[in-house]
Amino acid sequence: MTTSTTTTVALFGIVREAVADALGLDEDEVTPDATIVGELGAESIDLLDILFRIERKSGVKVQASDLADAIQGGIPDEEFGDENEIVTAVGLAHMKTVMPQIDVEALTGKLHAEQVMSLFTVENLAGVVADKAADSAAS
Amino acid sequence: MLRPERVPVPRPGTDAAPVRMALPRVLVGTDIVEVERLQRLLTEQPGLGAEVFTARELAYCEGRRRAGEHLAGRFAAKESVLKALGTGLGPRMRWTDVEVINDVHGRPRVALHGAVAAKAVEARVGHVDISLSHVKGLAVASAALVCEAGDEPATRRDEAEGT
Repeated sequence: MTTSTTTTVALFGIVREAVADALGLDEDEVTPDATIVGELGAESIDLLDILFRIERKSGVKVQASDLADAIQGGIPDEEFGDENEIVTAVGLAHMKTVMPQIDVEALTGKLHAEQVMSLFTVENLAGVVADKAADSAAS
Repeated sequence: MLRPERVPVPRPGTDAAPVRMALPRVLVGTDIVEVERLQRLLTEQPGLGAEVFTARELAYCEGRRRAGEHLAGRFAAKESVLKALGTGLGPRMRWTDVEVINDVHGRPRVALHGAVAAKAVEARVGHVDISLSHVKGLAVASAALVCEAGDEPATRRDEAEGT
């Protein structure tokens, strides 16, 4: 997956505004490294709101499942997580490409699949939106 | 109906395999939704309804006196099922993959489709049950997914002692 840095920066403002408006926060609270589900407390209905606001402002449609698609990168479930649903080395290596801020070494053998979204930041979301925009432009 | 698989109890002192009691697993999930919040989203985002709810769900709710509560309850039901599965809205999954349908007695039941149905098969889900409720602007749903028994070995003390 390639990400246009320029596009990500351009879209970050839209994403930050969407997150702030959906969650009723000041934009100053929506920092690039803030985790959307974790620190900012977004729930599933909030994600719906955020993604629709992004679409309305940027024209880029991102569905909630697109976020999971990006994080898992097409890796089959049985390769992404082990029998205990702990994310494997293969899974973590791909996650690093979408979520560069994660500490793979610290998470190795410990990260449960259910916890993955809790690590997803505002900047990561902007990156996914940028990739979606690039894919749409290329098709 | 799922029943635990039981193996004959070995006599003490004999060379026998350990007693195995394979029990079904129950996965649970709960979600609560502010009715007004969902109604506002549906009003402000015209495409949201069709993305989240099936035509059948929308048809059931529309025209009802408290349509907003019914829709919010259904949204909570979808989320509670996904929580029980442990996936949230995973890769290739759609909100419409979890559909709430009322049976002939008016009780809400769940039909699974698409990637969610596939995940349920993988998790050996044999039955899904939900319960919905509403009060003072909030809708809540709970889901229970009963999965077929696995291969976990277990012993029952009374049987292991040959009594």
